Amino acid sequence: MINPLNKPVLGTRLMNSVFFPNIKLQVIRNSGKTFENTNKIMFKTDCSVGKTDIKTYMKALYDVNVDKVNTINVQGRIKSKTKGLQKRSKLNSKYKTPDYKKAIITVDPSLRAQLSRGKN
Amino acid sequence: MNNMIRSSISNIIKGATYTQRFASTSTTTQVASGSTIINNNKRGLKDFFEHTYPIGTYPLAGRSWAASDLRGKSFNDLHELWFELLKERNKLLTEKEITKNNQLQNPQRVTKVRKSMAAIKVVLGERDQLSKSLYLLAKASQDGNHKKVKELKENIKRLNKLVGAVSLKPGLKELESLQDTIKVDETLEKNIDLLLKQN
Repeated sequence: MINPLNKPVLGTRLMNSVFFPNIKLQVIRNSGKTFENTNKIMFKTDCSVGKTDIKTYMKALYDVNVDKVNTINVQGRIKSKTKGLQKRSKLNSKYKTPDYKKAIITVDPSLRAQLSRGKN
Repeated sequence: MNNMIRSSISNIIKGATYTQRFASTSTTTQVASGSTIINNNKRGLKDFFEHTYPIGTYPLAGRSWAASDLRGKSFNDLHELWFELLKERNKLLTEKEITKNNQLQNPQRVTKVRKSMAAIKVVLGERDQLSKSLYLLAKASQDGNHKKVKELKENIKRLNKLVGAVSLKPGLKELESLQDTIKVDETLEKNIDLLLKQN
């Protein structure tokens, strides 16, 4: 890539990160807690995403004002494949699932109707 | 047949809804009120869940956006399309989490969203390369490096065909406060006009 100023190209990087964000938010099940009772939704996202990123992201894409964000870094599990009957082969077949971050957002109670099962 | 689908999808895009599908194209046609970048189709948290497929049908999706489809679009249109693709991707990931064994029906929908996002990045990259080449041309012509000037002019001629008449500035009025940090040189577009007059 051409770097004419011999500096980090601030315009391109800023344009890509501000105007074209690339954050994945995946709703996961929050066991034992429902949205109707606690006004909280749990997401799964990358570890590099912070609380302010989630707030601005929800405001920009979904027009949802987020009151509070709680984040939890979850380490990936070390798993082992069962390969053969010998003990030595098990030692070489371990792998790790990817790390991720849980994000729990708390929204205004007036948004409860958005996720109700009634008709639109 | 494909042209009819493309034209109907382009009408849907004017309503700022990117959902390429065959069965329910007519039911999702919406008209946006105004031309601001604020998306009028925001349904809040419901956008993480409900796809609007008919019950009992297989979730079909049309083809992904190609770079040739997007080269004539302005920065505003690419910006809106990117946001719709982000919401679609979040919706698919959430649907994958709900289903049994984390297996989506029609998992090619994720592939199509990813390719459409890559096409947007390709188009933005071409415009960025053109602006950088114009900057280097101005600098090389000052230094008197004739060999590099010739190479850059050939590159600019190739990129100018791809970019076309689209402005190189971002063009988002609501974000004019960021113009100083992402400022585009004022003489770049004048240089394009000079090159066109020379040719």
